[in-house]
Amino acid sequence: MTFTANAPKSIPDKRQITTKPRISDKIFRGILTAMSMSSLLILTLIGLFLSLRGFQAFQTQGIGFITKVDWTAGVDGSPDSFGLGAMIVGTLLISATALVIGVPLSVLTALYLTFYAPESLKRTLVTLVDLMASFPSILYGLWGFIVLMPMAEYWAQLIHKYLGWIPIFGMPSPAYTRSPFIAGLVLAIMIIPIVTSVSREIFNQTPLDRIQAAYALGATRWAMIKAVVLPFGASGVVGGAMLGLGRALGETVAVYSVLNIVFKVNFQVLYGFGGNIASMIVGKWGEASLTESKALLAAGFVLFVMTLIVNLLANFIVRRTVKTGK
Amino acid sequence: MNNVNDDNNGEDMSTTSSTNSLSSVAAQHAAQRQPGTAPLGSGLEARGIHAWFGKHHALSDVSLDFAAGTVTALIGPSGCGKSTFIRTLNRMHEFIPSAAMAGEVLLDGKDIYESGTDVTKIRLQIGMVFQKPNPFPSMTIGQNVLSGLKLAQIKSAKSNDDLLEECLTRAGLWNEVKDRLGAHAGGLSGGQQQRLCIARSLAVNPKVLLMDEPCSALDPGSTLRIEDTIGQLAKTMTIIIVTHNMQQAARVSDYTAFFLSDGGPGQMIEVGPTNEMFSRPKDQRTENYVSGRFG
Amino acid sequence: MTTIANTTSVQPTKPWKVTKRQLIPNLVLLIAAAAVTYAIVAISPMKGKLAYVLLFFIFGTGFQAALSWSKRGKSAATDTIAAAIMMTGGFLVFLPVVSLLFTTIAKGIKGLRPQIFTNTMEATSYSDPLTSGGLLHAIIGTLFLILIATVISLPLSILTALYLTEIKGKASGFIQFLVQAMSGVPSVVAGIFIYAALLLTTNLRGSTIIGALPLAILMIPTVTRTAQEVLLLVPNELREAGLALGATQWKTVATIVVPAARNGLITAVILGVARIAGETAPLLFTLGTSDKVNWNIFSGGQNALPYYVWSGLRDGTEGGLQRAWTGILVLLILVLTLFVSARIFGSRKVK
Repeated sequence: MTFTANAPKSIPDKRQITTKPRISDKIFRGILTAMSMSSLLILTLIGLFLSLRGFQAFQTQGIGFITKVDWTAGVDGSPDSFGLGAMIVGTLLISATALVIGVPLSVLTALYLTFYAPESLKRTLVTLVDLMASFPSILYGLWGFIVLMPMAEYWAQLIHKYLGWIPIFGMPSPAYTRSPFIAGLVLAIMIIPIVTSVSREIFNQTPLDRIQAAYALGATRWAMIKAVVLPFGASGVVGGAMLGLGRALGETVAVYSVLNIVFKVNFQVLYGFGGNIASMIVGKWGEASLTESKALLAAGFVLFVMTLIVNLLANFIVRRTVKTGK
Repeated sequence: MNNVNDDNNGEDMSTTSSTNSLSSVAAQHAAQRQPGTAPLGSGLEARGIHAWFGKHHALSDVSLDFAAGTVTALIGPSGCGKSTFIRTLNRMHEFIPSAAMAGEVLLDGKDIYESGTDVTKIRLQIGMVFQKPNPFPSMTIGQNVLSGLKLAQIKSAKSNDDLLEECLTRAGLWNEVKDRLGAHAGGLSGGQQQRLCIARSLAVNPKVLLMDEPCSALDPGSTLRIEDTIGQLAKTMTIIIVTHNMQQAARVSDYTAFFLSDGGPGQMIEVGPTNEMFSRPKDQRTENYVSGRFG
Repeated sequence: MTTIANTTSVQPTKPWKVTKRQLIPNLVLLIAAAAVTYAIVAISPMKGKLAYVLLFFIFGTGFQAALSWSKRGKSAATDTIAAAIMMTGGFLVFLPVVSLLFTTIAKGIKGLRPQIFTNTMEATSYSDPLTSGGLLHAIIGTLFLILIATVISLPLSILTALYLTEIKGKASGFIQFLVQAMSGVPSVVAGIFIYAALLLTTNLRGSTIIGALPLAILMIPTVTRTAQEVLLLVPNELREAGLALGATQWKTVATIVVPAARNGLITAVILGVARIAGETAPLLFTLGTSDKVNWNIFSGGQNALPYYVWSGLRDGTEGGLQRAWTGILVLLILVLTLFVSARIFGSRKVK
């Protein structure tokens, strides 16, 4: 039997596959879509209301709202002067302290859990870290105030004694209680669970073939980690640190409990006063006039934008590391 | 497990001819093998090696003596323990948490599993090239080659540049990368990456080089180049290569060991000079495998 | 070279495992390091717990590293130091957790008497000793808030998760992005948003239902994310089976997919509740306050456990602080119960 292959006739067009969805499915789809858009709605409303209601503050203070360092409510007809400057500095100072203390500890813990901990211990420790993440912030505030503060003051004195020549560790007069240092320390402990979890996830995904290549070359465990794990996981850890930063920026009651809130700029982390935007809002709320309330809402808007940007960036970085695996 | 060849009078014809061609290749290789400069060390000996993963007995009682300066191929169907065996030779088997073993592996007469041995030193002397090329992507080509020294924090007697050139030349990669040693390793082709991994293993001056199906992920052209390299390297070290490709075993190796598992743990059925293994194997199972009746 | 026949009984071993005997030199060195530490603290001006800890760390690690160097060379010494630093880092992280737990239990338990679960603060002030007053109103308030917040956020979250996993429409990427963005909203912002939207320019005052709104906002991202994860775990074969039987998509989802993921969804809700049970900041703007149980959730302030603790802390007297510790102990027990339940539900296999 012979068979000759014919030149194909023109290739037919692809058929359009359509179905007519049932009404119930259309409704189903519609409801789900609408409900999902609720997140968009909520976020937009938050931004909208805070900026609208707080608009007055932006209007009267102008860009100085962010840059001025004075926050005084005008009394009896004298003009208000609302400036977030001091609180922005405070927010950054406390968050930076939290990151400097918290991120290295988290990375070390994540490396320990992934590469060093014996199996039996590992599960207990991972549960403890997850537990830490679920503690309410007021607990950290109370504990920070009662338990941590005395120890932190002692450490602050030591730091000042040996490193006081560095400007940020100096202080005009001895006042160690309720400093940004303590607030940063409490925040560091609060962000450790997030940063550790994210770092652990990243380290767990280090490609096995590279790990094996390093060991086959005669590397010790640390040499392997330095050559393979750290380059691989570096950007993921940065993403995790930014998630921690996002948490630290918005932390309210823990900071309020341990920090002496004063509305002046303070760069010296050991010196006993400071503030951040979140705790300022809480602090001034009770006695605020209508205008000042609006200014506080505007401050809330600024905080909202800050945390939004940090969080989106963080998620972007973490997802990109997991995907590309570089 | 018979190969049915309808076009021939009897199935022996085709299988014999394929065995003949394998053995002729093996005979050619044996004839071409020049005695080299004095090889390093006194070879590697495995005695009574067993391997377990948890309760699963994966490898049973394998004893092989790898003479210095020779190339030994390990052949056999998938899943019969060849890769497991080769990983007991440089103590990579123990990375699997459920792994256990029995037996001894002697390097220069000393058991590498003896208590108190520094396993990182062992791996410097017994190197490994993997099936999938795995250069370090965060390092340049030059850094990759020298990475073994950096990881172990040892200094070579030669300068970095000399060592780079020497290792890349021995691996057959020097001409292609000599102008771009600072480029990242990820830009190389698969075959080039594998030769880079070979160069990397050479930089720490091992006595034995283990190769776990090094060409199975590569194109034929790269495969042949690497086989050339193996021939050159065998002059100064002992090479053990796991391969699925019997033609490759015939082309590069002096000795061949045949592994088989009949459902239980893998065992080493027969070992001998390569051209004898392919033309006049002693065990019927070996004959069946090399003549293509299964596997 | 010969082939060898089958074996008799050879036992598996792990010769690479470090034996206790091999660790004896390390133990000796640690004892030596302790001795050196004591000696230095005794004769030098360095004092205090910190001095002991720091010196022991330095000498303990240093001696071990020296041992590694002598036996196996430089890279082994670096490896030993790195291992010591890792272990110390891990240890430093777990100290606060342990301290938090123990302090809460130790301090809180002093005020844990049966009557605190039946009394409220209507007749007592915070500084009074703990024989009078209680936190019943706070517990009931928290339960109200959890209930209302769950009722509001649960449908939104599950439906959003279903959109992302079942419909996978064109807006999926965008909605995923939104959920992520929402998870970063600080609790205080959620609180003042509700204030700005509902309380600033109206006659409304803080009440239970308004207090639950920011909590619902905070809950949605958590529940959505977890629900999404567990819905993705439902094998596709189940969905295909339903559709192959001629069921519509919504029937498949409602009768097959959701029940299959039931345990996971319960976990998602529990995690959401755990997230908000301890939130304090939003309540300060939206809950009002109350000394007793307020059964009207639509009007009039309310108390809640975190707010109760906050009031005790701000009071600052011995009685106030004691109330705060006891309150936080109760809150912690609640959170831990939720945490454990989530674990149990999360690991239960669906029959």
